[in-house]
Amino acid sequence: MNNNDFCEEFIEEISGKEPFSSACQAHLKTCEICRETVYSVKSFRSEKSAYSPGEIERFKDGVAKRISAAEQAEPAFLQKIVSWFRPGFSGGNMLFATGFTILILILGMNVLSKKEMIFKAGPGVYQVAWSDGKTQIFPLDAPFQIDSGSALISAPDSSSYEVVGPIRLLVKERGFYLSTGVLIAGVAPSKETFVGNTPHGQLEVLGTIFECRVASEGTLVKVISGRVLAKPSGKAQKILTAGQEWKMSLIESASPGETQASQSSVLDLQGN
Amino acid sequence: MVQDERPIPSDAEVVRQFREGDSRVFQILVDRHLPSLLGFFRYIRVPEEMVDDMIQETFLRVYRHIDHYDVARSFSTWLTTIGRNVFYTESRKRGNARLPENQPQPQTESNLDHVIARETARELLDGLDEQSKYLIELRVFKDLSFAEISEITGDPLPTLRVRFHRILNRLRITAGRVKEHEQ
Repeated sequence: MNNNDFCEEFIEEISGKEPFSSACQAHLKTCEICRETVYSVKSFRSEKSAYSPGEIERFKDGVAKRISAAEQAEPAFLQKIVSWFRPGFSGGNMLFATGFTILILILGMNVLSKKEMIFKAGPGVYQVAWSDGKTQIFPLDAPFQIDSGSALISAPDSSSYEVVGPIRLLVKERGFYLSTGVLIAGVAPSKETFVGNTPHGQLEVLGTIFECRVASEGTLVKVISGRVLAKPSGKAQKILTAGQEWKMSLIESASPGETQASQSSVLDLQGN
Repeated sequence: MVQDERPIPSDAEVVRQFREGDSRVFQILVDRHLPSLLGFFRYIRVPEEMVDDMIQETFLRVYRHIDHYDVARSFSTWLTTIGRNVFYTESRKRGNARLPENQPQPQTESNLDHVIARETARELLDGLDEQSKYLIELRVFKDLSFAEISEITGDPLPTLRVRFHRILNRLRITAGRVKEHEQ
Protein backbone atom coordinates (compact mmCIF):
# COMPACT_ATOMS: atom_id res chain seq x y z
CA MET A 1 0.00 0.00 0.00
CA ASN A 2 1.15 3.48 -0.88
CA ASN A 3 1.79 5.79 2.11
CA ASN A 4 -0.74 8.21 0.70
CA ASP A 5 -3.47 5.56 0.52
CA PHE A 6 -6.25 5.55 3.05
CA CYS A 7 -6.75 2.50 5.22
CA GLU A 8 -8.53 -0.31 3.38
CA GLU A 9 -9.80 -1.78 6.61
CA PHE A 10 -12.59 0.82 6.83
CA ILE A 11 -13.32 1.18 3.12
CA GLU A 12 -16.96 0.13 3.35
CA GLU A 13 -17.72 2.63 6.11
CA ILE A 14 -15.66 5.47 4.70
CA SER A 15 -17.33 5.17 1.31
CA GLY A 16 -20.79 5.06 2.91
CA LYS A 17 -22.86 7.32 5.08
CA GLU A 18 -22.39 8.22 8.72
CA PRO A 19 -22.73 7.26 11.53
CA PHE A 20 -19.54 5.24 11.52
CA SER A 21 -18.72 2.52 13.99
CA SER A 22 -16.84 3.49 17.15
CA ALA A 23 -13.74 1.73 15.81
CA CYS A 24 -13.92 3.73 12.59
CA GLN A 25 -14.52 6.98 14.47
CA ALA A 26 -11.49 6.28 16.67
CA HIS A 27 -9.43 5.55 13.58
CA LEU A 28 -10.53 8.77 11.87
CA LYS A 29 -9.28 10.80 14.83
CA THR A 30 -5.78 9.53 14.21
CA CYS A 31 -5.69 9.14 10.40
CA GLU A 32 -5.65 12.30 8.31
CA ILE A 33 -5.77 10.47 4.97
CA CYS A 34 -8.95 8.64 5.93
CA ARG A 35 -10.50 11.91 7.13
CA GLU A 36 -9.70 13.46 3.75
CA THR A 37 -11.31 10.51 2.02
CA VAL A 38 -14.48 10.94 4.09
CA TYR A 39 -14.47 14.64 3.20
CA SER A 40 -14.06 13.84 -0.51
CA VAL A 41 -16.95 11.37 -0.48
CA LYS A 42 -19.15 13.94 1.29
CA SER A 43 -18.31 16.58 -1.27
CA PHE A 44 -19.18 14.23 -4.12
CA ARG A 45 -22.47 13.46 -2.41
CA SER A 46 -23.53 17.06 -2.87
CA GLU A 47 -24.11 15.98 -6.45
CA LYS A 48 -27.26 13.89 -6.88
CA SER A 49 -25.59 11.24 -8.99
CA ALA A 50 -22.29 10.18 -10.47
CA TYR A 51 -23.93 10.89 -13.80
CA SER A 52 -24.52 14.45 -14.96
CA PRO A 53 -28.15 15.62 -15.16
CA GLY A 54 -27.84 16.43 -18.85
CA GLU A 55 -26.68 12.90 -19.56
CA ILE A 56 -29.66 11.40 -17.73
CA GLU A 57 -32.39 13.65 -19.14
CA ARG A 58 -32.24 12.36 -22.67
CA PHE A 59 -32.71 8.80 -21.43
CA LYS A 60 -35.67 9.88 -19.26
CA ASP A 61 -37.46 11.24 -22.29
CA GLY A 62 -37.02 7.94 -24.09
CA VAL A 63 -38.45 5.99 -21.16
CA ALA A 64 -41.46 8.32 -20.86
CA LYS A 65 -42.23 8.03 -24.56
CA ARG A 66 -41.87 4.26 -24.56
CA ILE A 67 -44.20 3.78 -21.61
CA SER A 68 -46.71 6.21 -23.03
CA ALA A 69 -46.73 4.31 -26.31
CA ALA A 70 -47.18 1.00 -24.49
CA GLU A 71 -50.08 2.41 -22.45
CA GLN A 72 -51.84 3.50 -25.60
CA ALA A 73 -51.32 0.10 -27.16
CA GLU A 74 -52.58 -1.70 -24.05
CA PRO A 75 -55.76 -0.16 -22.62
CA ALA A 76 -55.63 0.75 -18.94
CA PHE A 77 -58.65 -1.39 -18.06
CA LEU A 78 -56.92 -4.43 -19.50
CA GLN A 79 -53.83 -3.69 -17.43
CA LYS A 80 -56.06 -3.38 -14.39
CA ILE A 81 -57.70 -6.74 -15.03
CA VAL A 82 -54.32 -8.37 -15.51
CA SER A 83 -53.06 -6.77 -12.30
CA TRP A 84 -55.86 -8.42 -10.29
CA PHE A 85 -54.32 -11.77 -10.95
CA ARG A 86 -50.80 -10.77 -10.08
CA PRO A 87 -49.35 -11.93 -6.77
CA GLY A 88 -49.14 -9.49 -3.91
CA PHE A 89 -52.53 -7.97 -4.42
CA SER A 90 -54.88 -7.19 -1.57
CA GLY A 91 -57.69 -9.48 -0.43
CA GLY A 92 -60.40 -7.16 -1.76
CA ASN A 93 -58.95 -7.19 -5.22
CA MET A 94 -58.45 -10.93 -5.09
CA LEU A 95 -62.15 -11.29 -4.23
CA PHE A 96 -62.96 -9.10 -7.18
CA ALA A 97 -60.66 -11.18 -9.38
CA THR A 98 -62.34 -14.40 -8.20
CA GLY A 99 -65.76 -12.95 -9.00
CA PHE A 100 -64.50 -11.89 -12.41
CA THR A 101 -63.14 -15.38 -13.06
CA ILE A 102 -66.48 -16.98 -12.16
CA LEU A 103 -68.28 -14.55 -14.47
CA ILE A 104 -65.92 -15.41 -17.31
CA LEU A 105 -66.42 -19.13 -16.67
CA ILE A 106 -70.20 -18.76 -16.73
CA LEU A 107 -70.04 -16.75 -19.94
CA GLY A 108 -67.60 -19.26 -21.40
CA MET A 109 -69.85 -22.20 -20.57
CA ASN A 110 -72.78 -20.34 -22.06
CA VAL A 111 -70.87 -19.73 -25.26
CA LEU A 112 -69.72 -23.34 -25.36
CA SER A 113 -73.23 -24.63 -24.90
CA LYS A 114 -74.35 -22.37 -27.72
CA LYS A 115 -71.47 -23.62 -29.78
CA GLU A 116 -72.67 -27.16 -29.17
CA MET A 117 -76.11 -26.13 -30.32
CA ILE A 118 -74.62 -24.64 -33.44
CA PHE A 119 -72.84 -27.91 -34.14
CA LYS A 120 -75.84 -29.99 -33.19
CA ALA A 121 -76.86 -31.95 -36.21
CA GLY A 122 -80.00 -30.60 -37.77
CA PRO A 123 -82.87 -32.52 -39.40
CA GLY A 124 -81.73 -34.95 -42.03
CA VAL A 125 -78.08 -34.83 -41.07
CA TYR A 126 -75.72 -35.92 -38.32
CA GLN A 127 -72.29 -34.81 -37.29
CA VAL A 128 -69.17 -36.92 -36.99
CA ALA A 129 -66.30 -35.68 -34.81
CA TRP A 130 -63.09 -37.46 -35.68
CA SER A 131 -60.37 -38.22 -33.17
CA ASP A 132 -58.16 -35.45 -34.63
CA GLY A 133 -60.81 -32.90 -33.67
CA LYS A 134 -62.19 -32.30 -37.16
CA THR A 135 -65.91 -32.60 -37.79
CA GLN A 136 -68.01 -33.59 -40.76
CA ILE A 137 -71.72 -33.56 -41.55
CA PHE A 138 -73.35 -36.63 -43.13
CA PRO A 139 -76.91 -37.22 -44.39
CA LEU A 140 -79.11 -39.61 -42.42
CA ASP A 141 -79.59 -43.13 -43.79
CA ALA A 142 -76.44 -42.93 -45.90
CA PRO A 143 -73.95 -45.74 -45.22
CA PHE A 144 -71.25 -44.72 -42.75
CA GLN A 145 -68.12 -46.80 -42.71
CA ILE A 146 -64.69 -46.53 -41.11
CA ASP A 147 -61.96 -49.14 -41.23
CA SER A 148 -59.99 -48.05 -38.17
CA GLY A 149 -59.87 -45.38 -35.49
CA SER A 150 -62.80 -43.96 -33.63
CA ALA A 151 -65.33 -41.19 -33.99
CA LEU A 152 -68.14 -39.56 -32.08
CA ILE A 153 -71.46 -39.25 -33.85
CA SER A 154 -74.02 -36.64 -32.82
CA ALA A 155 -77.43 -37.69 -34.02
CA PRO A 156 -80.28 -35.25 -34.74
CA ASP A 157 -82.19 -36.38 -31.63
CA SER A 158 -79.16 -35.37 -29.48
CA SER A 159 -78.16 -38.99 -28.93
CA SER A 160 -74.49 -39.69 -29.41
CA TYR A 161 -72.67 -42.79 -30.57
CA GLU A 162 -69.06 -43.54 -29.95
CA VAL A 163 -67.97 -45.82 -32.74
CA VAL A 164 -64.79 -47.81 -33.23
CA GLY A 165 -63.63 -49.02 -36.60
CA PRO A 166 -64.03 -51.25 -38.45
CA ILE A 167 -67.71 -50.37 -38.48
CA ARG A 168 -70.60 -50.13 -40.93
CA LEU A 169 -73.58 -48.12 -39.80
CA LEU A 170 -76.66 -46.23 -40.85
CA VAL A 171 -77.66 -43.36 -38.61
CA LYS A 172 -81.39 -42.72 -38.47
CA GLU A 173 -83.59 -39.95 -37.09
CA ARG A 174 -84.14 -41.80 -33.80
CA GLY A 175 -81.94 -44.88 -33.95
CA PHE A 176 -79.44 -46.70 -36.09
CA TYR A 177 -78.76 -49.77 -38.10
CA LEU A 178 -75.45 -51.35 -37.16
CA SER A 179 -74.29 -53.91 -39.71
CA THR A 180 -70.97 -54.63 -38.03
CA GLY A 181 -68.63 -53.06 -35.49
CA VAL A 182 -68.74 -51.61 -32.00
CA LEU A 183 -70.98 -48.76 -30.94
CA ILE A 184 -71.64 -47.22 -27.55
CA ALA A 185 -74.86 -45.27 -27.60
CA GLY A 186 -75.87 -42.51 -25.23
CA VAL A 187 -79.53 -42.19 -26.02
CA ALA A 188 -81.16 -38.84 -25.37
CA PRO A 189 -84.50 -39.11 -23.56
CA SER A 190 -87.50 -38.55 -25.78
CA LYS A 191 -91.16 -39.52 -26.02
CA GLU A 192 -90.27 -41.25 -29.23
CA THR A 193 -88.85 -44.73 -28.87
CA PHE A 194 -85.25 -45.14 -29.87
CA VAL A 195 -84.72 -48.15 -32.08
CA GLY A 196 -81.36 -49.74 -32.80
CA ASN A 197 -81.30 -52.49 -35.38
CA THR A 198 -78.70 -55.13 -36.12
CA PRO A 199 -78.83 -58.16 -38.40
CA HIS A 200 -79.67 -60.21 -35.33
CA GLY A 201 -82.48 -58.24 -33.78
CA GLN A 202 -83.77 -54.96 -32.50
CA LEU A 203 -83.10 -52.85 -29.41
CA GLU A 204 -85.67 -50.47 -28.05
CA VAL A 205 -84.85 -47.88 -25.41
CA LEU A 206 -86.35 -44.73 -23.97
CA GLY A 207 -83.13 -43.15 -22.68
CA THR A 208 -80.05 -45.03 -21.67
CA ILE A 209 -76.44 -45.80 -22.38
CA PHE A 210 -75.60 -49.12 -23.88
CA GLU A 211 -72.92 -50.82 -25.88
CA CYS A 212 -73.68 -52.75 -28.99
CA ARG A 213 -71.17 -55.03 -30.71
CA VAL A 214 -72.10 -56.64 -33.96
CA ALA A 215 -70.17 -59.45 -35.58
CA SER A 216 -71.19 -62.14 -38.00
CA GLU A 217 -71.96 -64.59 -35.19
CA GLY A 218 -74.24 -62.28 -33.28
CA THR A 219 -74.96 -58.98 -31.54
CA LEU A 220 -73.76 -58.41 -27.99
CA VAL A 221 -75.71 -55.82 -26.02
CA LYS A 222 -74.33 -54.47 -22.76
CA VAL A 223 -76.45 -52.01 -20.79
CA ILE A 224 -74.49 -49.37 -18.92
CA SER A 225 -77.44 -47.43 -17.52
CA GLY A 226 -81.21 -47.49 -17.94
CA ARG A 227 -83.05 -50.33 -19.61
CA VAL A 228 -83.03 -51.86 -23.09
CA LEU A 229 -85.64 -54.05 -24.66
CA ALA A 230 -83.81 -56.58 -26.82
CA LYS A 231 -85.85 -58.26 -29.53
CA PRO A 232 -83.84 -61.03 -31.22
CA SER A 233 -85.11 -62.05 -34.62
CA GLY A 234 -87.56 -64.89 -34.26
CA LYS A 235 -87.01 -65.27 -30.53
CA ALA A 236 -88.56 -63.99 -27.29
CA GLN A 237 -87.70 -60.45 -26.31
CA LYS A 238 -85.93 -59.59 -23.05
CA ILE A 239 -85.52 -56.51 -20.91
CA LEU A 240 -81.91 -55.83 -19.99
CA THR A 241 -81.10 -53.57 -17.06
CA ALA A 242 -77.89 -51.74 -16.10
CA GLY A 243 -74.91 -54.09 -15.90
CA GLN A 244 -76.56 -56.85 -17.91
CA GLU A 245 -75.41 -58.01 -21.28
CA TRP A 246 -76.89 -60.36 -23.78
CA LYS A 247 -75.86 -61.91 -27.02
CA MET A 248 -78.41 -62.10 -29.76
CA SER A 249 -77.64 -64.45 -32.59
CA LEU A 250 -79.52 -66.30 -35.25
CA ILE A 251 -78.37 -69.59 -33.73
CA GLU A 252 -78.62 -69.21 -30.00
CA SER A 253 -78.98 -66.65 -27.28
CA ALA A 254 -77.85 -66.73 -23.69
CA SER A 255 -80.04 -65.70 -20.77
CA PRO A 256 -79.72 -62.28 -19.19
CA GLY A 257 -77.20 -62.21 -16.33
CA GLU A 258 -75.02 -65.00 -17.72
CA THR A 259 -71.94 -62.94 -17.39
CA GLN A 260 -69.34 -65.62 -17.99
CA ALA A 261 -70.83 -66.73 -21.28
CA SER A 262 -71.42 -63.16 -22.39
CA GLN A 263 -67.92 -62.05 -21.47
CA SER A 264 -66.41 -64.76 -23.64
CA SER A 265 -68.62 -63.58 -26.46
CA VAL A 266 -67.27 -60.08 -26.03
CA LEU A 267 -63.72 -61.33 -26.26
CA ASP A 268 -64.55 -63.32 -29.36
CA LEU A 269 -66.13 -60.32 -30.95
CA GLN A 270 -63.06 -58.24 -30.26
CA GLY A 271 -61.02 -60.83 -32.11
CA ASN A 272 -58.81 -61.67 -29.09
CA MET B 1 -40.79 30.15 0.51
CA VAL B 2 -42.07 27.19 2.47
CA GLN B 3 -39.96 24.11 2.04
CA ASP B 4 -41.67 20.79 1.43
CA GLU B 5 -40.81 18.80 4.53
CA ARG B 6 -42.64 15.64 3.58
CA PRO B 7 -40.38 12.62 3.99
CA ILE B 8 -38.99 11.22 0.76
CA PRO B 9 -40.97 8.03 0.06
CA SER B 10 -39.01 4.81 -0.02
CA ASP B 11 -38.96 2.65 -3.14
CA ALA B 12 -41.35 0.23 -1.44
CA GLU B 13 -43.76 3.07 -0.70
CA VAL B 14 -43.59 4.36 -4.27
CA VAL B 15 -44.19 0.86 -5.60
CA ARG B 16 -47.20 0.48 -3.28
CA GLN B 17 -48.71 3.73 -4.58
CA PHE B 18 -48.09 2.64 -8.16
CA ARG B 19 -49.75 -0.72 -7.57
CA GLU B 20 -52.75 1.09 -6.16
CA GLY B 21 -53.19 2.85 -9.45
CA ASP B 22 -51.19 6.09 -9.18
CA SER B 23 -49.16 5.70 -12.36
CA ARG B 24 -47.62 9.17 -11.96
CA VAL B 25 -45.30 7.97 -9.21
CA PHE B 26 -43.53 5.71 -11.67
CA GLN B 27 -41.52 8.74 -12.71
CA ILE B 28 -40.01 8.82 -9.20
CA LEU B 29 -38.60 5.35 -9.76
CA VAL B 30 -37.24 6.39 -13.14
CA ASP B 31 -35.64 9.53 -11.71
CA ARG B 32 -34.09 7.60 -8.88
CA HIS B 33 -32.82 4.55 -10.67
CA LEU B 34 -32.11 5.56 -14.25
CA PRO B 35 -28.54 6.66 -13.46
CA SER B 36 -27.60 3.35 -11.88
CA LEU B 37 -29.27 1.41 -14.72
CA LEU B 38 -27.35 3.48 -17.24
CA GLY B 39 -24.22 2.81 -15.23
CA PHE B 40 -24.92 -0.90 -15.18
CA PHE B 41 -25.24 -1.14 -18.95
CA ARG B 42 -22.04 0.80 -19.39
CA TYR B 43 -20.33 -1.22 -16.68
CA ILE B 44 -20.99 -4.43 -18.60
CA ARG B 45 -19.86 -2.62 -21.76
CA VAL B 46 -23.10 -2.66 -23.69
CA PRO B 47 -22.51 -0.85 -26.99
CA GLU B 48 -23.56 2.78 -26.54
CA GLU B 49 -26.01 2.64 -29.45
CA MET B 50 -27.95 -0.09 -27.63
CA VAL B 51 -28.05 1.52 -24.21
CA ASP B 52 -31.00 3.86 -24.80
CA ASP B 53 -33.21 1.07 -26.10
CA MET B 54 -32.25 -1.25 -23.25
CA ILE B 55 -33.02 1.36 -20.62
CA GLN B 56 -36.44 1.91 -22.16
CA GLU B 57 -37.14 -1.81 -22.41
CA THR B 58 -36.05 -2.40 -18.84
CA PHE B 59 -38.31 0.30 -17.41
CA LEU B 60 -41.17 -0.89 -19.59
CA ARG B 61 -40.82 -4.38 -18.11
CA VAL B 62 -40.72 -2.89 -14.64
CA TYR B 63 -43.85 -0.91 -15.45
CA ARG B 64 -45.69 -3.99 -16.64
CA HIS B 65 -44.46 -6.41 -14.00
CA ILE B 66 -44.22 -4.21 -10.95
CA ASP B 67 -46.45 -6.60 -9.02
CA HIS B 68 -43.73 -9.23 -9.24
CA TYR B 69 -41.41 -7.03 -7.25
CA ASP B 70 -40.85 -8.23 -3.70
CA VAL B 71 -40.70 -5.06 -1.59
CA ALA B 72 -38.50 -6.87 0.93
CA ARG B 73 -35.71 -6.84 -1.67
CA SER B 74 -33.69 -3.94 -2.97
CA PHE B 75 -35.36 -2.25 -5.93
CA SER B 76 -31.96 -1.53 -7.48
CA THR B 77 -31.09 -5.21 -7.44
CA TRP B 78 -34.42 -6.17 -8.97
CA LEU B 79 -34.10 -3.48 -11.63
CA THR B 80 -30.60 -4.58 -12.51
CA THR B 81 -31.72 -8.20 -12.77
CA ILE B 82 -34.36 -7.13 -15.28
CA GLY B 83 -31.78 -5.02 -17.09
CA ARG B 84 -29.47 -8.01 -17.32
CA ASN B 85 -32.28 -10.15 -18.73
CA VAL B 86 -33.09 -7.45 -21.26
CA PHE B 87 -29.47 -7.45 -22.32
CA TYR B 88 -29.41 -11.25 -22.67
CA THR B 89 -32.62 -11.20 -24.71
CA GLU B 90 -31.28 -8.50 -26.99
CA SER B 91 -27.95 -10.27 -27.34
CA ARG B 92 -29.66 -13.51 -28.28
CA LYS B 93 -31.61 -11.66 -30.95
CA ARG B 94 -28.33 -10.38 -32.28
CA GLY B 95 -26.76 -13.80 -32.06
CA ASN B 96 -24.44 -13.11 -29.17
CA ALA B 97 -25.65 -14.02 -25.68
CA ARG B 98 -22.30 -13.45 -24.01
CA LEU B 99 -21.96 -10.54 -21.67
CA PRO B 100 -19.21 -8.18 -22.67
CA GLU B 101 -16.15 -8.16 -20.48
CA ASN B 102 -17.03 -6.33 -17.30
CA GLN B 103 -13.51 -5.98 -16.07
CA PRO B 104 -12.66 -2.30 -15.73
CA GLN B 105 -10.01 -0.99 -18.04
CA PRO B 106 -6.87 0.04 -16.18
CA GLN B 107 -6.78 3.76 -15.65
CA THR B 108 -4.11 5.16 -17.89
CA GLU B 109 -1.88 8.06 -16.98
CA SER B 110 -3.45 10.20 -19.65
CA ASN B 111 -6.89 9.55 -18.12
CA LEU B 112 -5.56 10.44 -14.71
CA ASP B 113 -4.03 13.66 -16.00
CA HIS B 114 -7.37 14.49 -17.52
CA VAL B 115 -9.09 13.96 -14.16
CA ILE B 116 -6.56 16.13 -12.30
CA ALA B 117 -7.29 19.01 -14.60
CA ARG B 118 -10.94 19.06 -13.43
CA GLU B 119 -12.08 21.66 -10.99
CA THR B 120 -15.35 20.64 -9.39
CA ALA B 121 -16.88 17.54 -7.83
CA ARG B 122 -19.15 17.25 -10.85
CA GLU B 123 -16.23 17.36 -13.22
CA LEU B 124 -14.24 14.93 -11.13
CA LEU B 125 -17.11 12.48 -11.31
CA ASP B 126 -17.54 13.06 -15.03
CA GLY B 127 -13.87 12.32 -15.45
CA LEU B 128 -14.18 8.84 -14.02
CA ASP B 129 -14.17 5.88 -16.34
CA GLU B 130 -17.58 4.17 -16.69
CA GLN B 131 -16.74 1.27 -14.40
CA SER B 132 -15.55 3.50 -11.57
CA LYS B 133 -18.48 5.85 -12.05
CA TYR B 134 -20.94 3.01 -11.73
CA LEU B 135 -19.37 1.72 -8.53
CA ILE B 136 -19.42 5.23 -7.05
CA GLU B 137 -23.05 5.61 -8.10
CA LEU B 138 -24.04 2.42 -6.30
CA ARG B 139 -22.03 3.00 -3.15
CA VAL B 140 -21.96 6.76 -2.65
CA PHE B 141 -25.25 7.79 -4.23
CA LYS B 142 -27.42 4.69 -3.87
CA ASP B 143 -25.86 3.74 -0.57
CA LEU B 144 -25.80 0.06 -1.48
CA SER B 145 -23.65 -2.22 0.63
CA PHE B 146 -20.65 -3.97 -0.85
CA ALA B 147 -22.62 -7.23 -0.68
CA GLU B 148 -25.45 -5.73 -2.75
CA ILE B 149 -23.00 -4.28 -5.25
CA SER B 150 -21.34 -7.67 -5.49
CA GLU B 151 -24.73 -9.24 -6.21
CA ILE B 152 -25.48 -6.71 -8.93
CA THR B 153 -22.11 -6.65 -10.65
CA GLY B 154 -21.11 -10.25 -10.05
CA ASP B 155 -17.73 -9.06 -8.77
CA PRO B 156 -16.33 -10.81 -5.68
CA LEU B 157 -16.15 -8.71 -2.52
CA PRO B 158 -12.32 -8.62 -2.36
CA THR B 159 -12.22 -7.36 -5.94
CA LEU B 160 -14.74 -4.65 -5.10
CA ARG B 161 -12.72 -3.58 -2.07
CA VAL B 162 -9.60 -3.21 -4.20
CA ARG B 163 -11.46 -1.25 -6.86
CA PHE B 164 -13.09 1.10 -4.37
CA HIS B 165 -9.80 1.63 -2.64
CA ARG B 166 -8.18 2.65 -5.90
CA ILE B 167 -11.07 4.85 -7.03
CA LEU B 168 -11.46 6.68 -3.71
CA ASN B 169 -7.74 7.24 -3.39
CA ARG B 170 -7.62 8.70 -6.84
CA LEU B 171 -10.57 10.99 -6.14
CA ARG B 172 -9.19 12.06 -2.77
CA ILE B 173 -5.79 12.91 -4.17
CA THR B 174 -7.31 14.73 -7.10
CA ALA B 175 -9.67 16.67 -4.87
CA GLY B 176 -6.76 17.56 -2.60
CA ARG B 177 -4.72 18.90 -5.53
CA VAL B 178 -7.69 20.92 -6.74
CA LYS B 179 -8.06 22.35 -3.24
CA GLU B 180 -4.35 23.26 -3.10
CA HIS B 181 -4.61 24.79 -6.55
CA GLU B 182 -7.60 26.89 -5.42
CA GLN B 183 -5.64 28.15 -2.40
